[in-house]
Amino acid sequence: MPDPSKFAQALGTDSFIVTCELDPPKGFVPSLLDRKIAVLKNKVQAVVVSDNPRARMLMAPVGFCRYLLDQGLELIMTLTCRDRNRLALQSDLLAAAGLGIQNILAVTGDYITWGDHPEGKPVYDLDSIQLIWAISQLNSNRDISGNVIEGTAPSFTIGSAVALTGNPVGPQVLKFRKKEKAGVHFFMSHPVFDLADVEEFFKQVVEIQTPLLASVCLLTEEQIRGYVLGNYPGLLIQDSLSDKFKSVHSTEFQPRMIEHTARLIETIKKDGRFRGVHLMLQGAEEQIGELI
Amino acid sequence: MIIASRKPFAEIKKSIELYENILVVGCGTCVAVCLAGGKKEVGLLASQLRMSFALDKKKIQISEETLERQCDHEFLETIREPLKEFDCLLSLACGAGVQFLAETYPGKKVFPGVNTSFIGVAEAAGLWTERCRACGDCLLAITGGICPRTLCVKGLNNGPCGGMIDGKCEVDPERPCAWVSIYERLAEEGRVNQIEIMFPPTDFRFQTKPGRVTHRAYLRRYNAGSK
Amino acid sequence: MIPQEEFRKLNRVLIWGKGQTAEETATRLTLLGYEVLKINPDEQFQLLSIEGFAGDFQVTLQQTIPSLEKEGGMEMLERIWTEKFGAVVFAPELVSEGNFSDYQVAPTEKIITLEEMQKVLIPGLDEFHQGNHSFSALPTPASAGGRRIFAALKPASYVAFLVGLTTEGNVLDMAVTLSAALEIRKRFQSQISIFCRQVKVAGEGLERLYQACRDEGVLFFKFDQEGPALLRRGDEVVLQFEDTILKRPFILTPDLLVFDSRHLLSSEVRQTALSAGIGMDKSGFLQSANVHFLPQASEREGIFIAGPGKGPMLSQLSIEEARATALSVHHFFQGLTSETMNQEVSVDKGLCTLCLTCLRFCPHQAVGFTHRVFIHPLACRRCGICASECPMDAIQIEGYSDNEVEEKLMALQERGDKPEFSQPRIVVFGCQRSAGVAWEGAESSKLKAQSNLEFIPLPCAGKLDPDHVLKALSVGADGILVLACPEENCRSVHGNTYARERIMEIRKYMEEAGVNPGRIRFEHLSSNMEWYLKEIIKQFSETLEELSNPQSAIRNPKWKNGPH
Repeated sequence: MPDPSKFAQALGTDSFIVTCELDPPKGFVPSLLDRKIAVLKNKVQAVVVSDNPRARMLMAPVGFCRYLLDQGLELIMTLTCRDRNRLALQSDLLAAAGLGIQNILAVTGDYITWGDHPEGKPVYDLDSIQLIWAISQLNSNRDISGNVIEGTAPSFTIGSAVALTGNPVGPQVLKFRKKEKAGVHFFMSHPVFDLADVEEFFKQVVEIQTPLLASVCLLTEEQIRGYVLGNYPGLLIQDSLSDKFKSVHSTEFQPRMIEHTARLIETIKKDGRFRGVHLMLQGAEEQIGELI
Repeated sequence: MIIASRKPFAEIKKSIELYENILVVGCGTCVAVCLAGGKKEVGLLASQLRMSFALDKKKIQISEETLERQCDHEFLETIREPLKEFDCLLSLACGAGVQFLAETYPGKKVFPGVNTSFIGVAEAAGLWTERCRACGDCLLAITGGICPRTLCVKGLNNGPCGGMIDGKCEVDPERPCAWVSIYERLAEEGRVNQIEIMFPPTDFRFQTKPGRVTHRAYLRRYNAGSK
Repeated sequence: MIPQEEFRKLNRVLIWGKGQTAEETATRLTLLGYEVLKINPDEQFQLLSIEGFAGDFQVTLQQTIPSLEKEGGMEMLERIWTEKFGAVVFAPELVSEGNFSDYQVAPTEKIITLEEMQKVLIPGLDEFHQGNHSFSALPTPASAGGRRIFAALKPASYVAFLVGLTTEGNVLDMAVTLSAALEIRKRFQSQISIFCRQVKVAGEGLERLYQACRDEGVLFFKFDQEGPALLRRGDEVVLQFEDTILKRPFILTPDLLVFDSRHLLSSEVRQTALSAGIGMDKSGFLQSANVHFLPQASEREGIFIAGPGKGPMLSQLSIEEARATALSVHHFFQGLTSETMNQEVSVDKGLCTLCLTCLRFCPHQAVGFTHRVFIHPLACRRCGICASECPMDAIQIEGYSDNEVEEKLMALQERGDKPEFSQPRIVVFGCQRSAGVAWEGAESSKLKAQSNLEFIPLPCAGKLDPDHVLKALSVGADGILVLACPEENCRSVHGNTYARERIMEIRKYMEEAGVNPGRIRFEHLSSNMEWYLKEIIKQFSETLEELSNPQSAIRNPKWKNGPH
C-alpha cells in the first residue's frame, strides 16, 4: 500500500494549510496554464483540480493531473457524481491511483443546466456520500460490488464538501455526520464570506474532529454586480457585502476585493476552528501572493 | 395518474399532412382527466385541423372517436370495423396507448397528439405536478412519504446537496428542496434516524427497460415452466 | 355520501343568528310548520362547516363551555357534533368597536362612543330596538362612567357628535344620534352639534326626527370629505374646520365628544361564512355584491342571509327581513324558487371519468360524487359552467345540450355559400339572462329576421364551450360573438369571467389553425341594451367584411362525426 500523501501528512500536523483551486483547460493543451502553475507551485500545500466545474466541459481531471504531477505539484483531484456512473467513477479512481494521485475531493456536482451542455443527461448514479464510501471501499481493496482489486490497494485521502452556511442547518449537519461515518478524512466548506454566517452550524456541531478547511472565494466584479440569490450555485453573498462593493469603481475593484479577502483569510486563520483555507480565485490565481 | 399535454399544433399538423383520411382517437381515462386528450380535446383538435387544412386548400377528411382507454385490447377492438376507411390514426392517448393502438392495427399509420410527461397528482384544477418516477423499488417508507428520486432534481439518495438555498432547490428556486422536506417531515415525527445511515446506491435493475410485471397469481398462466 | 338518486328535503331549518331578525324568522318558520333550531353565534357556539346540498345539509357545530373551576384554573369542555337541516339561515348581528383609531384619539372621560351614550340614556336598549326611537325617563346611571357623562350634560356644556365621517355612514347610527341629540337638548339644554357627511334618514319617522332636532336648535355641519380636524390642546381635544361660506376657521372645544363606532361581523361569523362558501362584500358584510343574490340568497341554494349581517339596519327593516326570509325559505321547500329548477341536468355516467373539474368550478357547490359525479338537482342553478369544463362532454342541461347546439351548427353548414343567406355569417353565443332577453326584445325583431345571424342561447356565458365555437368556425361561420352579463352581475358569480378567459384560450386555438383571432369578439351586455346589441353586430359585421374571406374555403369541405 502506498504511503500516505504529502497532503495527508500535512493534515496530521498543526500547520495552517493553504490550497488553491485550478480549472483544467477547455482543450488538451495543459501548458496553457503554465504561468498559473508556476505561481501556485510554491505558495500552496496542494492544488485542487476541478472536475467540469459548474458543468462546463473541460479536460478531465485525471488527464490534467498527470501533467501537474510532472510539474511536481501536490494535488487534490475533484470527482463529481454528475457525469459518471459507478463504473466510470471507480475506473477513474483506479486510473488516478495508477498515476500517483492520492487525494480525492468527492462532491455531488452542480446540476448540468448551469453549464455549456444543458441538454445533456445528468448521471448522479452515486451521490457524494456513496462516492465517499466507494473510495473507502477501494482503500480496503474492494470495489462496491464486493469484488477484490488486483494488486495493491490504493491509499486515498478522502475529502468532501460541507455547507457551513446552509439554511436550514439541520439537514446539512445530518449530511455532515453521514459523510464522517462514510470515511471522510478532510472537509472543505462552501465559500465563506463572513464567519458570523457559520455560527448556526457550529452551534449544532460543537466540535469537529475531522480537519476542516474554509473555502474563500475571490469575487469578480461581474458576480457582485449581477448577484441575485441563486444565480451562482454554491454562492451565498450577504447584502452587506454586495452593497459594500457595488459602489466601488471598476478600476478599484480588484485591489479592494483582494484586500478584503486577505483580511478574511487572516480572520479565518486566527479563528482556531479551521485547519486551513482553500482559495477559489476564479482565474486570478496569479495574484495569490497578495492574499497569503 | 399519467399526465400528458397536447403537442404543439404545428407539430401535429406536420406529422399527418400526407394522409387524406384521418381519425382522431381520444382516450377517456388519464388524458381526459388531465384535460389533454378526452372527447372535448378531440373535438377541438379536429376542428382546428379541418380549418387549417381547408385554408391550405388541402382536401383532408378528419373524423373523431373517443375510446374508454387505449391500453386494453377490448376497448381497441370496438373500432376494428369502422377503422377500415382510415389510413391514419392520430391518437391523443398517452405513449402507452398510442403504441398499443399501433400494435393492434399494424396496417395503420399511428401518430401521437400529446406528450406524455409523468405520473402525478392534481394540485388544483388544471395544475398537475410529478410525484413518481416508476422506479420499481419504492423507498417512501424511509423518506417519510416524500420521493427524492422524483422531487430531488439530482435524484440523490442521500441529500441535500450543497446547492440548497434557504430550503429551496439549487436548480429551481421556486421548488422546495426535497431533502429538506424529508428531513423536516421525519423530524416532526421523531424518525430522523431513518436517514442518518447511508442509503445504498440504487439498484437500477428494477428500472431495466422495458418493464414487465406479471401478477403472481397469473405466473403459471404466462410462463412455460417456472420463473 | 348520499346514495345516488335519493335527494332528500328535510323540513328542518337552522337559524344561525341572534337578535330580532333571527327571532322573528324562527317564529315565522315555526308557524309555517318547520322544525326550527336557533343557535346563537356567541362565544359558546361555532358553526364549523356546512357540507351537503340544499335540502340535506350536514352542519358541524362546536360548543365550548367552561366547566367548574378546577384547581389551577378554568377548564373548557368542547363538544363537536353534526346535525342535518334542509335549509340554513345566517342572521347574525354585528359587533361594534370604537372608531378611535380612525379618528386617531384615545377614549377619555370626555371622548365616548355612541354606544356608551346610548347605554346611559336608555335604561333598556331593547325598547329602542323595538322601534321606539326615543329615550324614556332617565334614571341616574348606575355606573361611574354613566354618572360622569351625566355630569357633563348641562345647559352650558357643548356636546359634539361625529358620525359617518370615516366610514360609509348608516341609518342606524344616524337614528341613534338624532334621538340622543334631541333628548339631551330637551332634558339638559346643552349645546349640540352634529358633524357628518350625510344625514341618512331613510327610515320611518327619521325625517321628522331630523326636523325636530333642527327646530330644537341642534346644529348640523356637513362635510364633503373628511370631517373636522381633531387637535390636542393639553388635556382637551379641539375640533377645527373651515366654514365654506364664511371661509373662516372655526375652533370648538366640546365638553363631550361622541363618536360613532365601527360595525362589523365578529371574526367567528366571518370564519363561518368563509368556510361555508358564503361571500362577503368589499365592506366586509355578508352577501357578495351581486344583485342576483338580493334579497336573501347566497351562492349556495338553501342557505339564506338575513338581517344586519348584511350591514347596519334599523329594527323595522330587520323585522321585514325576517318575514321575507321566512317566505323565501318556505318557497324553497315548496320547490318554487325559479323556473330553471325544472330543467333537467344529467351526467352521463358512462362518459364521466371523475376528473372532478366540474366540482371544482361549480360556483354553487352543487356537485358531489359517489362512483361517478352527480349534480344535486336542488342545489344546481343550471348555469352550465360544469358542462363547458367537462373533458368528456358528459354533462347535459335540458334546452342547451350538445346535440341541440350541433343541430343548429349543421343547419348553418347546410346553408353553405347559397346567395339567399347573406354574409357575414355570425354565430352569437349569448347568455339567456342578458343577451337572450335583448335578442327577444321588440327592437331586435329585425335582427332576428336577418339570415346571416344564428343565435345560440346559453344559460350563462360560463357555459361557453370552446369546442362549439371551433365547430361553428369550422362549418363556415365568419365571426363568433360572445355576449355575457356585465361584470359583478353574473348570476353564477364568475360565469362571465370564465367566458372572457375562454375567449383568450380560443383565440390561441384559432391562431394555431391559421384563423384570424379577430373573428371572435366578447362583449358585456345587459338585458335592456337592445340598441347596444344592434350596434355591436353592426360593427362586428363591418370588421368581418374587411377581413379577407378564407372562411369560404372552410365552408366547402364536408365534415362528419366519428365512424358511428
